[in-house]
Amino acid sequence: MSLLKIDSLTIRAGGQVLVKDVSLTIEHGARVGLIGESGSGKSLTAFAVVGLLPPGLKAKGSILLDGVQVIGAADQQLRPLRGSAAAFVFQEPLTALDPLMKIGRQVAEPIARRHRREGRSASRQEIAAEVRHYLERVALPDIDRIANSYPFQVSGGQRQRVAIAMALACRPKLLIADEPTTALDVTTQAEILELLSTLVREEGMALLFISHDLPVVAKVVEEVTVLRRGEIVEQGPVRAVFSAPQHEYTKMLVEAAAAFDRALGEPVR
Amino acid sequence: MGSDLPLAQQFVHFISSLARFDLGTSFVSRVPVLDEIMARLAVTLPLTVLSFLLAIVVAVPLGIIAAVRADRWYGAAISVISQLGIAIPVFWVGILLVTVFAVNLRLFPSGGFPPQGWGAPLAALRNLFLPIITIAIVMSASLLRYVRSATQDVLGSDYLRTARAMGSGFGEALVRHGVRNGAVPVVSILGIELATTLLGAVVVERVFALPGLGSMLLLAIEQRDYPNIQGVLFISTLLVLLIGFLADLAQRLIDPRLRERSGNRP
Amino acid sequence: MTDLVELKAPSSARRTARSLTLAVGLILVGLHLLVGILTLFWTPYDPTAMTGGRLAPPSWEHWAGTDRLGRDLFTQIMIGSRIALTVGAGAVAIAALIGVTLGVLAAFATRTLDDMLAATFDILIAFPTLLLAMLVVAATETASLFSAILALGIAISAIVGRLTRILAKRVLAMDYITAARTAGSSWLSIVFRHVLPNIWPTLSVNFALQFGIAIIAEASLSYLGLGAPPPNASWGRLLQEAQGTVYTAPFGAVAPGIALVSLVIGMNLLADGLRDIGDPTRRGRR
Repeated sequence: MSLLKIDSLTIRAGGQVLVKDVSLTIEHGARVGLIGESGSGKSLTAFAVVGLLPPGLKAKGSILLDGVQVIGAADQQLRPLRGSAAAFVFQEPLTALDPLMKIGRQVAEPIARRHRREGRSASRQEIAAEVRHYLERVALPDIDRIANSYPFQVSGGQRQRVAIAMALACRPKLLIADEPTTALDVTTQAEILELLSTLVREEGMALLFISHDLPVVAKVVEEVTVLRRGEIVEQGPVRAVFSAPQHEYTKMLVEAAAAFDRALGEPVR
Repeated sequence: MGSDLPLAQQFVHFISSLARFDLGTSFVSRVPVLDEIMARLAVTLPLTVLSFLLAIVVAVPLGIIAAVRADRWYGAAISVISQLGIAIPVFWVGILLVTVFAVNLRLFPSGGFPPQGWGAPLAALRNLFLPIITIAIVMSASLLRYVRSATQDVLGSDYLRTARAMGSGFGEALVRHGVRNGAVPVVSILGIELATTLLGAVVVERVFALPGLGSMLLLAIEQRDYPNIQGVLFISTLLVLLIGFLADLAQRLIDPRLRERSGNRP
Repeated sequence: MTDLVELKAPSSARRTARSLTLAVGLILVGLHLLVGILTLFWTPYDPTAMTGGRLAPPSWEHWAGTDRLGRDLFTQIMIGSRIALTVGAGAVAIAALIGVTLGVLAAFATRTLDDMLAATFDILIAFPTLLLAMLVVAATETASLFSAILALGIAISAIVGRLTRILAKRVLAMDYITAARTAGSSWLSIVFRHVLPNIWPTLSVNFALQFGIAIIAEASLSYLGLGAPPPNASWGRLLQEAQGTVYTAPFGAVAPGIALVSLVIGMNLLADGLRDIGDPTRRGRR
């Protein structure tokens, strides 16, 4: 059974069709990219996977996440899936983290929840130890200081590492990263990408990587789906799609990325 | 107050008197201004503070419901009623309450305050009941709108979405992350509302014939009793500053970002 | 999350609700305006004449009953519309004149003057409009319609001044202002060609809100006996008189209040409607 199977997903807002007939499958441990410009419906697709579409939006079709039908399910039924089956890393870590809660407590929250779900209560010390473990896992320096800091007191790259630590702490089967490097500077971007690839491989998670940035996606995924205005224009192994793009839009993306790389003096792969 | 001295000298005299909390003596009653103010505050402060607490108890839950359940009829109804509430002058609410509860139902006195004051605590509370309800109605309408808007901000926030995406229930996430974040703007509004009510108590005190600070000011204005006017303004300003300071302090306690900035403000 | 920006576009149901807001606001305010103008030429009765029994309940002849001198209340409430609109418009006009001038001045001024003006606005805003107006009235010798307008205008000008200062500073920080300055535009031409047109949409919304606040404050002043003296039939004074006779004629304490609230709600709805028109980001995409 596939970990995630999206079948003819359509998302509407009133009369507007935002995502149209999207199908996508992710196997356990697979790394898949979802590419498209802003407004192409890629983030919406990701939110639909865990049933967290903004109010007023209706999804139709089928989404099987870890064997559970997400579309039409009640929030109660979806809650156990969130975190366990899929966890998120968002684009802007400054707003994605609670600005008024210390980082250590924020990371502890998913850990405590996981223990509750597994039906055992963990002591404060156990949870604190796990918080340290996950903060170490994302290669944060000076862990005690960071755990005791508020999000605004650490750098943008460190905040994103914290967000990744929180997602990891859920021990999800699928990690959904929604433009996780867009808000960061170029050097930090590279570090975060490196970190994500390593962690996904080591923890054996599947990855759904969402980005508008083709070279970024190419670095971390095996398969790619290209979305444009809510519709899939191209889908396949990353090498095939990028070496022989079929659709005009993909060609344009590849062309633009190549031009950018020529300017930097480094090939796409 | 030494009114025959030159203006500059009068001013220096005035400021130095204020520093010693010597607010002079009333032109009309010959009672020391500060004594009069203290006696009046014994009515106005309980009136304001109790109304304020009642308004919070009413407005906070209703404001949250109005935001969270905006798509249900009762959520929308709360919003519409609060819109109505901010358009009603406080004295009319008072008059209507008097008409219904004092004139028709005879449940409460239509005004006045027991002559022995808080020496008769039950009678005092009974006399303050309708005035408190009056202020609380108007205050909670405007407070509710701020709570609703703060809650809307929380509902649209990324951190709430993060919490839910990791498996937190909606209510749990709202309590754990929403309360503190929503409280920051609400606390500053609370300070402003409290100050406004304290200073605006004059109208309600008139409706219910209460011997408070506001009616003292009104009487002083009518009689052009300048020491009393000055004294009330001075004490009111002190109270407003104090409330502002406390609201600021509360905000800093909640929001570490404000604490951090306090050292190097522009 | 750029993906989700388009979701902020309101649904068609929302848009209808918004144009409804504006329509209801316009109707309510328009109705009061018509009545107010009408009273200049015609009223059902002479407002000072004793036309019936004292404290009569509402009837076909006297839609809102009569007051304790037997004068027609409906006539007085109609005149109240005129007074309320006059005071509101006058107060907002004065507040606009003082507030916008000082606000723009602060935005252009040197650091010290700007700080002083900003601090003054902040201190004044800490006091309720009504209290400030009471003090201005206290400083004038006799209460008149004009002193009420002046008092409220001065009280509200601090709010307008503070808002103008903030808005104008925001405009002045824009690149095209720097460009205009480098091109040698005088500061007056910058004010009239760039600053005022840009801040007008937000200011006008605030004016509508302040209009409503002025009406409530005027009624409160009149209720306290500090407003326009008779024969100006202010709603606040009508209510104050009715409170004295509430045991025998409760209706007199209701009708002027309804008139007042309907006008204030009209103004608030108008402000909401104007905000949606003036702020394109809150308007629906087509």
